[in-house]
Amino acid sequence: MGDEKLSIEEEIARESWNEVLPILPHERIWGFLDYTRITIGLAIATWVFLIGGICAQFVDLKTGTAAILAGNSVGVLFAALSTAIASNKYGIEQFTLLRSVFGYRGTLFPLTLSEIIWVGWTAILMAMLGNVALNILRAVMEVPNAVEIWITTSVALLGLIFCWFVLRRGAKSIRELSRFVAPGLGIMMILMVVTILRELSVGELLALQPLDQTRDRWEGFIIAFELNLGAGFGWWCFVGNLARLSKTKRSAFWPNMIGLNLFAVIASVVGLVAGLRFGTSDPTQWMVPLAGAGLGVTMLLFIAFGNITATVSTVYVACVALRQRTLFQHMRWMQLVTIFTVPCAMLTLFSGWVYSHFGTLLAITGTLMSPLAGIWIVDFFVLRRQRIDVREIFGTSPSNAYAFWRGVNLVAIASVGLGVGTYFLLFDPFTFANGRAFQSLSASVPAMLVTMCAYYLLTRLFVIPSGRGGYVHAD
Amino acid sequence: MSEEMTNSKPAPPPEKDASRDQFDAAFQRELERRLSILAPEDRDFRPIGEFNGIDYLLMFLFGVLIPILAMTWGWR
Repeated sequence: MGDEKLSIEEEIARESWNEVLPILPHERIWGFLDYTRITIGLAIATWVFLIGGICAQFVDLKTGTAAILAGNSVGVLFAALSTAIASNKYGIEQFTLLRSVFGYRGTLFPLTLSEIIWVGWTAILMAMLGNVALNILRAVMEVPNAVEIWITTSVALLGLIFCWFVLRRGAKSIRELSRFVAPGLGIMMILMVVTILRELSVGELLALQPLDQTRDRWEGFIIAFELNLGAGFGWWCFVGNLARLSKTKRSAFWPNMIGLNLFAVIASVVGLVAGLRFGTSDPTQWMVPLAGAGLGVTMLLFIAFGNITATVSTVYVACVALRQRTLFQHMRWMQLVTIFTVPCAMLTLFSGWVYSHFGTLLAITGTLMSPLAGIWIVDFFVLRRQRIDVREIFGTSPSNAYAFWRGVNLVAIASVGLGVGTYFLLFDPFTFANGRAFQSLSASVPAMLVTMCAYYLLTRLFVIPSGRGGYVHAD
Repeated sequence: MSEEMTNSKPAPPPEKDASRDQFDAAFQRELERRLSILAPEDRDFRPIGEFNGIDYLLMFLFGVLIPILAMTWGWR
């Protein structure tokens, strides 16, 4: 694979080809430090400001720090345990390896759930871009309230169209530019902390109250914990495909806990501090009051750059993942990008609503990803004792070990459905309405546990006795 | 590690003008070559390192102890 110039179709064909094929041991390129650096780069992105900002609505600095640390630790641990070990052991792409759980046709189900999350994040990043533009305009001129929504929506749509054009030329160059985002945001965070600490003492920061004063303090604490569980579980879509490039099991697993957990926690706490200090959960409103018009606008422009690179990378990953499915395998690249960006554009039309419901996206991420993490843990570690037949993973005949019912494991889909249902019973991700059970248990963790128990029991009762699923090591 | 494993190079995908059948056939050949390295006759994969007690202790720390301690400290 040299450096020869490739057309976009060739580049994508090559990427898809490499994605689907299992990686051989000598092709694994990342040691512990390499993968740690990658995960830190992923964790420190513009969305950590949004996560910290949304927490400022519900919690003060002390309880917020605790909720962010606890939620992320649990979420990232289970997401990584679920995906990293299996993908790393076999070197096989995450959604291909999931054929052992959902069947060779059934993997469309977890992929669809992941695509829903990717569409949501893309729309949020573009809505944030629209708000960046609005706040830059506000810094230099008077903006009437009536035109604000037009500015944010049209800039968000233009941003998405720009990303579409960038992806026509391939994502390689802009994905390379994205490596400057994490260091830049790191410097921005240090600047934010220093500026805020020059104005307020630690005692004064600890005394700042949550923005939403209508909720009970404990309820706010658990909601913040739940949203950070969602942020942690959200990595489930990515971790397996990254971890398979690591050289050992340890270097595939622990860097996730360092980068995606600890560094994301630190960055989110900075966002929480800024949210509490400036009295708004919208990060685009922090920069000008924080650093003045000149530097503030520069910081906003850098956030815009970070959002563009993150969106291009997200759309690229989402479309390459779609390319693994037979339905999309021979489709032209730009057709595929268009299919993915159309729902993003439709959501972006309601950029005001999307941006103000970032918490809902985090909660939905927990709703969908926590059952997927749980089901794979039970299947791989408990039922299969960490052994998968790699030849059967790539087979599609009716006699295939992972054929289940015509290529679909109905038990897996039903178990995830039960987990998602449990989540909705405990917590409404749209209104955040909840009851006593949620305030004792949260929602993602019970949803994951219900999925795990249901899947274990139903597999033992129906799948294994019927000889389906290739559970030769189950007893 | 066998010589084949250390010296094997990923075969490039066929050129863009190749037909769908040619592409699929080339893919199957490359897949078979890789599976024969990854999963020889016994069809079992060679693990690349196992966790020990320290790893499980750290998992307990991150998954149970740190969240409980953080929540307790945060609420006090």
